[in-house]
Amino acid sequence: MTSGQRSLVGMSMLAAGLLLVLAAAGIAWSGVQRWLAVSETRDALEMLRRDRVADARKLAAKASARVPDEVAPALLALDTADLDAVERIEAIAARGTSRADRETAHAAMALARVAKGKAAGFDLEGSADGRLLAAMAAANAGRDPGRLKPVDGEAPPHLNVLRAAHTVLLRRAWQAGKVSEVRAHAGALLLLRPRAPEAPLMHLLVGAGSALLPDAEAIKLCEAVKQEQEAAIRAVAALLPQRRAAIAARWPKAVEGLP
Amino acid sequence: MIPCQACGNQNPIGTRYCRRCGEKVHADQQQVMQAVQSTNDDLASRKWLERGRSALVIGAFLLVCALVLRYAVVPPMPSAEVPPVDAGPFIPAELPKVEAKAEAAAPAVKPALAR
Amino acid sequence: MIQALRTVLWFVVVTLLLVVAAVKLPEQLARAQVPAEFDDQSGLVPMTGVWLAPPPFAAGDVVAFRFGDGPDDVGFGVVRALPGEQVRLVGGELLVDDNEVNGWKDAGLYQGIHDVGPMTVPAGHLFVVSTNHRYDSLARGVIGPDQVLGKVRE
Repeated sequence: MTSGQRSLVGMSMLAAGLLLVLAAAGIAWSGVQRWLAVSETRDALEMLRRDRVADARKLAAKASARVPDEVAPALLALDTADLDAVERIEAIAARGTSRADRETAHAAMALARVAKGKAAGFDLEGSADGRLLAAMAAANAGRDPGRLKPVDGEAPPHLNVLRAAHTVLLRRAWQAGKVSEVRAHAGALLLLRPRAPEAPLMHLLVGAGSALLPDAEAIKLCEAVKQEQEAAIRAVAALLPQRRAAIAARWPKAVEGLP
Repeated sequence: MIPCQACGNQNPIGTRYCRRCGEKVHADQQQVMQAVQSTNDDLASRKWLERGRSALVIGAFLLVCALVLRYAVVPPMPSAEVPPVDAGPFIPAELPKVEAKAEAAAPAVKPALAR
Repeated sequence: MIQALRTVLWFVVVTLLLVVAAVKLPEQLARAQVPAEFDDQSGLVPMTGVWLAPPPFAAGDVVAFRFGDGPDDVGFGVVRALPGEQVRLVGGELLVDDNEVNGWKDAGLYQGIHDVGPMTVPAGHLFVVSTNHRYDSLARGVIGPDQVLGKVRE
């Protein structure tokens, strides 16, 4: 090989080496971005568990900007009250490689629509999500949602679909004065998230609705409710006539005007 | 290299006698300059080859490191979760109209399992 | 000339290897859907003195899980219910799909209340019960997939 040829080969190798360095820098940068996004998504999930929804959404939005094709941060960043934003999730779900993530995105879209009083828009048959959303839609429309009995072989429900469905069905049963249904939905919400802000109210509904709990214990459960205490106690008194006397002794105004 | 006028053997610069036939090597100024130039080119090309090889090795090493970082070190993304929705208040806006004596207390269901 | 050929050949082989690695490695790693805490090769990781194994989990497995942000916020408990199963507390007993769970110890949570639930365990979550109930599902709710570190190996 002449010196000219040798120089040419050397320069080509140098150019190829530089290209490899550039490629390595690009891959490393995307790796670092992904790492940050994973960390932010995990933090957002932790915040959601602590009911810091707005902070979780902000953090997930940052993560989603780093990895725009990932379904997990995009869903956590989603403002479910904004149906236009919900529709945009479909494009991200279509790009997602995991079938489970796609199904979760569809469940999230369906839940957001049903919560806004619209049709689910997705066929979620064969999954508990579909059954829960149908019950939720029926309750919202004033129809009988039927019993929430699990079907063998169906895919398990998602946590927030379960929470939303129990919330809607609890409210409906409460309004209809169906104590056993109220206890069942409140018990499910209590077991799902015993540290949630609404947990003391659920504890009260489960406990006060049981004839085995003495009035003094029921009053203690009433005192533990901190959110909208007055309204909650009045609504419990309206639902449970057998507790009215005990409630009236402690909170006379709560039972005023009740039949 | 300086060629021997007798046998044509190529001798390195500075050689006074041919390494093959032993004849005295005569080199004019131009030949020496050409030989120096050729040696310089040779050295320069070897340097380029060396640089290229180093760049390729470093580039390949960095690429492998970057691939390991991206696909083996970075933890997997958590699985997607349905975000919470505002399902409305727990307490109904309209309270149930349950008569104080019309409906009995919730059935005292103390199950068989209860101790 | 031979040296030049050798250099070019070396260059081609390295490039081909890198291209194959760049294409195949992500596929292989995408298949290994295990938490990052696990060593892909052995499936084990030493942590707080115990060895953990990756999912899938079954009822009765002892699992380690995070319950907070801190490095020491790790709890251990027995998996009592899997996604889709119904959990219910009846008269101080824990029922999973209407079957009584043995080895369960009521620590007085929901005292005086004889019937709580039923609650369906959501997708990806576990219902985990530990001995003192401080950090388990009865005190903190179902354990999410991002919280579970793995099951304790015997």
